[in-house]
Amino acid sequence: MTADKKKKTGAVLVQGGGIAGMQAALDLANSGFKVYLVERSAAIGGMMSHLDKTFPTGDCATCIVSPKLVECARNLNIEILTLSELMDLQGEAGNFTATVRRYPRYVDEDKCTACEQCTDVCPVDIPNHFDRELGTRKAIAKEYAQATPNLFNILKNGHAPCKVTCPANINVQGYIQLIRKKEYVKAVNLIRERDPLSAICGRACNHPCEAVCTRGKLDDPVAIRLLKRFASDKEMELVESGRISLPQEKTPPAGAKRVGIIGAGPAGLTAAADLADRGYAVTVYEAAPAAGGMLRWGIPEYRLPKKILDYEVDLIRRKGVAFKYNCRIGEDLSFARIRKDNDAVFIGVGVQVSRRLGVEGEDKSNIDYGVEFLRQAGDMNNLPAVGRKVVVIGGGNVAVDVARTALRLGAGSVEMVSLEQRQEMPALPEEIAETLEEGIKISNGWGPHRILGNGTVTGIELKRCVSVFDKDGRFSPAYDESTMTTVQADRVIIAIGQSLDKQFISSAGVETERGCFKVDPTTLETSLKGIFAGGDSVSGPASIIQAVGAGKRAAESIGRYLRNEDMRAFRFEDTVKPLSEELLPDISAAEKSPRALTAYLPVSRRQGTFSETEGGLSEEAALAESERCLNCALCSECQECVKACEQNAIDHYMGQREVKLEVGSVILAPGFEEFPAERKGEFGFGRYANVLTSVQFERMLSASGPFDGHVIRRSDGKEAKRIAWIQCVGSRDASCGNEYCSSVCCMVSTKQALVASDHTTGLEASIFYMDIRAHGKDFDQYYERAKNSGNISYIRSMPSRVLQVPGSKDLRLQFYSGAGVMEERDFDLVVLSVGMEAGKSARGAAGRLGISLGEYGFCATDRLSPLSTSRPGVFVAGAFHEPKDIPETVTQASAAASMSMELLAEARNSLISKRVYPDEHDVTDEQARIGVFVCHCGKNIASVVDVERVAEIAAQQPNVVFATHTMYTCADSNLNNIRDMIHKHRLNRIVVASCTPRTHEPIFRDTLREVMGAFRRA
Amino acid sequence: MKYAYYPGCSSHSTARDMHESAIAVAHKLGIELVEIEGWSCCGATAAHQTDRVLAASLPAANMLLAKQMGLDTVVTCAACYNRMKVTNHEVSSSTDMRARVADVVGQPYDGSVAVRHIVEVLLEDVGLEKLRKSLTHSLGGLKVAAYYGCLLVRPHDVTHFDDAENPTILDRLVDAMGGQSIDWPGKVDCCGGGLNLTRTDMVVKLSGSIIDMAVESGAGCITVACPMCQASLDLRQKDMQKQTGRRYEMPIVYITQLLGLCLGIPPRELGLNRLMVSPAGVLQYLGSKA
Repeated sequence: MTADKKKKTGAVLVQGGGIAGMQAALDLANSGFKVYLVERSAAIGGMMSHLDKTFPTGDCATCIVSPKLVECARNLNIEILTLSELMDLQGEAGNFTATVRRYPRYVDEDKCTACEQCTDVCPVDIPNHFDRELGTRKAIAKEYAQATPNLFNILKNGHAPCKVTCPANINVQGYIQLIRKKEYVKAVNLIRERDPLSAICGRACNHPCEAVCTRGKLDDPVAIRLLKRFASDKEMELVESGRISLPQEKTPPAGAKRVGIIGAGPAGLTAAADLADRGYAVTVYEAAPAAGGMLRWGIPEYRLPKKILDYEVDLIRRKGVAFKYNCRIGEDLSFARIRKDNDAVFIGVGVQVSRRLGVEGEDKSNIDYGVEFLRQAGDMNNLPAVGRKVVVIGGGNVAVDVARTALRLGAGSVEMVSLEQRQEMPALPEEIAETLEEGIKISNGWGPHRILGNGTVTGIELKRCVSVFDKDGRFSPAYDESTMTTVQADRVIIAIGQSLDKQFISSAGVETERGCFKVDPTTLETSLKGIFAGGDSVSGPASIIQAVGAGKRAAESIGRYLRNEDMRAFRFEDTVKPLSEELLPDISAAEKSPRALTAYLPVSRRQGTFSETEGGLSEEAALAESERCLNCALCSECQECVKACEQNAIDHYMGQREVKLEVGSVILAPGFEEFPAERKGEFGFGRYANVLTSVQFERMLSASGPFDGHVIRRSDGKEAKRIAWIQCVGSRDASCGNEYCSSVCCMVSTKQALVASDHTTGLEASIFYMDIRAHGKDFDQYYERAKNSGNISYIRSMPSRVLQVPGSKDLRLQFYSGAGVMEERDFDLVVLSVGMEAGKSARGAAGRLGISLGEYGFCATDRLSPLSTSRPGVFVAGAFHEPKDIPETVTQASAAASMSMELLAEARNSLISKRVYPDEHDVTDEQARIGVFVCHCGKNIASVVDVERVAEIAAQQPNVVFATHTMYTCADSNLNNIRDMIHKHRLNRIVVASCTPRTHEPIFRDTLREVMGAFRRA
Repeated sequence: MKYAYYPGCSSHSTARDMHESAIAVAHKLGIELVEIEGWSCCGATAAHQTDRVLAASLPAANMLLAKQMGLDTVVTCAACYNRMKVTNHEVSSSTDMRARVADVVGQPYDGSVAVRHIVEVLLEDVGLEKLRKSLTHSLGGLKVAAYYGCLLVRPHDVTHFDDAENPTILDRLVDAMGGQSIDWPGKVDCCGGGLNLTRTDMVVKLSGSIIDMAVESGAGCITVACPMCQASLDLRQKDMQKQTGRRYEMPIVYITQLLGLCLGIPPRELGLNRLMVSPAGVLQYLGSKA
């Protein structure tokens, strides 16, 4: 040995926490080596934890694996790193530096007590991958019942397209899931975190979210807007019936900084609500006699009843927002004065002036403009006149509102003239459909040429519009003036857009750009410091929800401005993370279901009345609709778990990190992946509910599985009596590139047939095989036993395909039998015995670490050293080496551990720690001094046992010197408390009344052993 | 969107309705189909059962004509599609075959002309988005069994059409038209088309079982994209009736006919009058688009 040769490191990294990884880790740790057990999932246990029984003994798999789990968890020299992956390995055998990536659990490992209260309140049900998508789990849950470490984790993928697309980034998935749980008020509160105009948007939003809804690729998008309306209506119903009360009226805290908001439209109202919540003194200046802006004066009553608007404005007022009506800036109050009275100002004045056509004859009488017409129509005392024949110019939502309003005001007939073709019209398709339904004619592809009449309008001459947009998609209509037509009219209403009030611009002195206010796109600050603007007056005519989004954005900036903070760094928008395409839910296997329909006022009753045209969803329809959400992002971030966790263990913003570990050797035991059965499309996996993989069937057999151990047809829940197993699915099959035998499937199917026979009396099991490989210890006897059992038949054959019989949903298996003829038979279930493949992530890791792979992607090894990979110091164990069963895997794991020990022999015992307990002392003859600790276990115990009373009575028992109750007795802080109380009261007997002794007793015993020495010294 | 159009002989005979409806639909959607001048038989059935070189040479000759036009070739007949795809596969994977084909057609052909079935053009080039916008009528929830047969999807390594076991191109078109595509087990079963004249009894049996499955699955009609499938299913329903004693009146309509209806094209222009089983059951669902 040369003098400069480094000393070897007495630690080993084991990648993979399955049975191989656990065995290797225990062998090493018990022989004087420190072990890092690195596992990609949230818990160790590997494939074995999914199994119901093992072959050929028929033992319970969990009963065999569980003690290993506990041993690993309690071994001082095994450090378990879950949700972790080996990314890089530098150095050489004896001295490696490993880089391990740790993915976020979103739950603090040190604080979580596994009390399960988060799971109880989580509204999100997503397919449970542990059960191979047979059942569901909550977004926050424990991997499985015996999960080690005993911790919860959140499955999260970023944010759903609906939330990302919404200009206000409303947590759509979150509130839909809360509706699903009938938590309507919580749903509305979640909406209002991003949009205080929930009931309003539930009626009048143009819902860009629905256009991107993943469900739309399957059948129809989720009716998001109607669900928002449903939740909001429910809340109002509860208020009206007195079951919940309106929030207390607040006043701004004394000395609060002041914010002035000009304009009580959607942008201004949103900013006002947000800033009041942040504790500022907000005053809204509004020119009109009531709040709402375009919501009040632009959207007709039949689409947005004023009652709804008033309700939500009142909620904002209750936050402590002051409203000054009839206060037009520049006339009633100067802009300078507003600046003087406030520390910051938000301008949300909208666009109020209708654009003119600029054609000949526009000066005649009986010509109206869209917004002005609607504003007048909103005033019941001063309704505008309509004629016998009204022509509306324009194809947007305002034009549609004008036309439908004119009809309701008693117009004889109404015709809309739009430049755009029907499909290009900017108005929402559903609004166009309702318009047509009401008998309004829409003439598409025409533009006004001149308005006819002597003084008073008599008609309008139109020219053919051949295209509306130029090559770059800009508005630039082109006409064919050789094609003209004339339409008679006694009233023309022009609704072709609006622009900013010029007078206001000049009085404010804020820089403009193309007729709108110029603002910084991130902060929305104008050219004047402390003056912000947003909504239509910045963007030009846009949607309500865009104005809401702008109000939120401005409020965030204003808050930071008033606190002298950076207005750009880490803004809310930066927390929104779009999902990549491949992470979106797989819709190929999802079942179609129709979108909820709502009721509409019959057409015959719409004329002459302003009653709301569209009805809300019924509760049944809303609940069914909420089930249609595909939970694109998995966790919806509704924050219910955060509220429920009394340990404050949940952090939705946790990020991934990397750690460096010094190790002398590495053992790769990442296991295998099941062959993706959908690749053998002829067997109908993923298409027919009663076709399962062998791993799914294992979960079905498991008593703790999704069907409580009942063997049933998924299509109708009936007991499955006729089951077929198809062998070699994805093994020994050149057509899918897997020419090798997967080694275990013959025995797996044999075991499953035997176990299922115990579950179901009269079961007929048929195993379709090429040849049976019963090569291990006692395997052949096992096979013979099954073959002779009477109800299990082995059919040598080549299955060609599985069909689902229409109606009965039986599965028809067609096969080429040993006799050389095509046959078919019907079954209740077909189980595909899927082969083993080298996992994608294992192959990726091998590439990163410079480990050679064999022909099929499994680890390459030498014939005479089957555990050594191509890189010295890195060993392999288990199915990543090649397909193998559990006994062989365990044997190999111990062997790989020995290889590491041999390499690192000189460093043995160099890095391990031993638990040193104080000497125990004999308390047998002492008089008992008993301490009692009764655990609430959150609500788990407290909801059935009167914990306080138990502690009280315990205190009165003889020899009890101390009794108490704690929220989580097992939490670290309470274990410290036990120690302290032992000291203080000189306790020599401890009673803990908590949950399962199996998982928790060792923790308490350990605490006592740690403290008893201290007690004696004291 | 401009393509070289290869109508194939069936467009002049049993599949005039498919030809007519494809032309009408293409016209309506702004797809330009330029008929290949001087096209000849693709050799389906007759040639490919007798001589492998001839079977490749006939499509090759036609694809060389398309190559001169500098356009992708679009076909409506699934048999032509299959022959052309197989030819492309054979000449590009075997130098020997390439040489022998060049010998027959008089010039080299390398298999580079892209061959598309009209439904692939509809789904991939036009796209569902645009299609939906162009529709004036809806299938009104009509339950449709999409039937693909074998020539489009097999052999999958050669045709690369959708998915061999569970193709969904036609289903997606049906759904876009406001119909309800149903999942049913008969999608890629054999109709017996190749034996239409020699073993009619086999056609009656195979096609009959396909119609039975569609009926049991609740279909109101079967839509097809292959003239052989259409003929087998549509022509033999009387024989099925004789054989089983049950009534058979399942409309067998081309996907282009359904699409034409939803684009507002009159039924006559789509050749719907040429069907043996009346499409009345389909037409009664047709309504203007919601």
